[in-house]
Amino acid sequence: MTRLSAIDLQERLRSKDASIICVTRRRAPSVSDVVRRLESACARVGMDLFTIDGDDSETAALLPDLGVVAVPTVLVVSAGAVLERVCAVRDAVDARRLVALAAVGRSTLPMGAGRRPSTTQVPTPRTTPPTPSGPSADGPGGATGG
Amino acid sequence: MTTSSTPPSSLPASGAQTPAGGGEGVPEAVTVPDVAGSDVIGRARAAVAAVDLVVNDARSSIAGWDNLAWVNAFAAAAERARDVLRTSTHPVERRLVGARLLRLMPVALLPEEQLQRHMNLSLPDPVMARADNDFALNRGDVPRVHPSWTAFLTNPGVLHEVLRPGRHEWLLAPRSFSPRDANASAMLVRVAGTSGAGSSTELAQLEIKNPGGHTSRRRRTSDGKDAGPAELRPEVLLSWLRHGGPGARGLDLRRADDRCLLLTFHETMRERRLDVLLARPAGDDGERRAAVISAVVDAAVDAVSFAALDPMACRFVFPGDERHQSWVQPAIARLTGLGLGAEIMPLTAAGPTREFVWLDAVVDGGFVGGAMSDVAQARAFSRLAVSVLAPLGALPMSGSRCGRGVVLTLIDDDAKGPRQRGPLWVEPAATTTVMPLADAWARGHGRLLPLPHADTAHDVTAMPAFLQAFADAIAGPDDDDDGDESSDDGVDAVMLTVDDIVEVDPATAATLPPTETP
Repeated sequence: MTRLSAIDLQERLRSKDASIICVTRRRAPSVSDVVRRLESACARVGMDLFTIDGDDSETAALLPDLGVVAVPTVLVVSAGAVLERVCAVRDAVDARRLVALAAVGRSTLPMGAGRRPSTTQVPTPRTTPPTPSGPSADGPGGATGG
Repeated sequence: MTTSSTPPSSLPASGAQTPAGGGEGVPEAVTVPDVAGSDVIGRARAAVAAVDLVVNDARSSIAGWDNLAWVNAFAAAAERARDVLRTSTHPVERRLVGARLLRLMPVALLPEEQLQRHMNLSLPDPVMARADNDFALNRGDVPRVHPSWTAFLTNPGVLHEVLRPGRHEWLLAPRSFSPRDANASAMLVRVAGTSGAGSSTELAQLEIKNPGGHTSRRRRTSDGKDAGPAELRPEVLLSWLRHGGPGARGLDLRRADDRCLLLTFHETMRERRLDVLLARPAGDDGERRAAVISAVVDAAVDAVSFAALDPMACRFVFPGDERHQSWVQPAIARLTGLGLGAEIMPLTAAGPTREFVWLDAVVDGGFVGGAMSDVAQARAFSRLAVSVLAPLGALPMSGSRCGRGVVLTLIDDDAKGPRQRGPLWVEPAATTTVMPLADAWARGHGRLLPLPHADTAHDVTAMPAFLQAFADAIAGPDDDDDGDESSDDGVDAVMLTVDDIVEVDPATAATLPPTETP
């Protein structure tokens, strides 16, 4: 787990690598649970979890642009854009979902100029029981890019 | 085109519409859709009935002002729901239980910014009925679009034509062009004329809209000094117009979430009879055409915003001042003791408050589950827009810094040729879901837009072919002579490679056979 200063945060936001950033604050309830779950999920895939202090005035000035209104808030960011922003991580599965989203962002963002090898597939209907779908991890999908 | 969220008639009312704290005392009927033969809905019916016992009892016996009693009723229902949810395997079951719990949210404890907005967590009934087969797509699940709606886009010079004076509303330009007039990362300009027409040194003479709403034809530095005439190469304006944003992508129909989203969009179109309009020829009336496309955009926004709910939008907001602590403390203790949800601390509040989020602890995330943050809703809309709106000329640009919205630029056609409308700011999770970008900037939204460096660009001329191929791929083979029943369902695995689509020759795309009117 790495604590970011305001300058570090700006650099991290500009980075093309997706990152998971948790906004924390002293005496904020449920922060430790969220950080613990995320840290464990990040450790499984060798990612570093970043935290920022919502009480730090320099850092706090950047938070409205990122849409942060409460603590704890977990941000998945990549290339200057927020890919996900949540205030709660209900369990380890939820934490792994966020880490997976960051991992997807790492492998496919940005797409770069020109064409990209993505596909859209019409599925064969399943006969097996449906499984809960991943919340927001965008898979490779169709696009009109050219 | 500025719209506010209003739910479609088929969607059941939620807590915001029929305030739990209203004290009417009238038990409501179970609104689980009556879909015969649906296993998921059948299981959900039992789950919802258990929760409904508490809901109906609370609504008939608790006074509207008694917030602690409502919280206790919510907790009691949630406890029953928790038992039910332990055995629930499908996100739709959990979604239905979550929708019932919404009815126990006292209006007085909802976040203030949500009071103007309807809270929905309901899929249209026909879509819900498809949960059993994981929302598999069938023939006809993509609205058929008559080629006349999109034919003008095959003109290779269509975007150049909208840059002509009088053929556009506002265009985006980089902040560096005139920093004093910019809103964080971009600014709005209009082409007033051109110089050096046809040569490589062509320049567009621009009219700049500054944040105060005034226009000028001079650039200004960040400290307000004059920086010369407002002239820019048209290619810069075009790059912003075609910009899809970093990581822009369309629907991935291998995922149940995106199939469900597409089905919900189609059902919304069907409820509003827009599918019939699009299947017929567009006609020559440019204003009517623009109105239809705007209505389709609204349908896409509503498909997302009525079926998904941001957990932050339905959180409990308790007053933090001393005189309320006699009931706030036990209420929070009761919610915390549930083990469902978590207390959060607002960063900027007008007064001391204590807040509690619970939705994402009850229902699953994603479009099928229903719990989607404002960012996830914007990304879902963006995927839908890339796949089904961009081919109609509504070009999305995602990737703003805040992530909660998408910039949409509309390319229309009228008797004088192509024209541009917008740009619009689309924010599915907001009270006002579609508004001019300048208005959004004034509210502090969408101020940091991605720069069009090396990201995906919309290939406008290939879009009609893309839409046709997209619909055909889902529809499957047209003739059933081979007797293969699977073709009826249109579910043969068809790989639709984007690279193939964008290679289509525009001349070929223009001659695609007309779509059948259903």
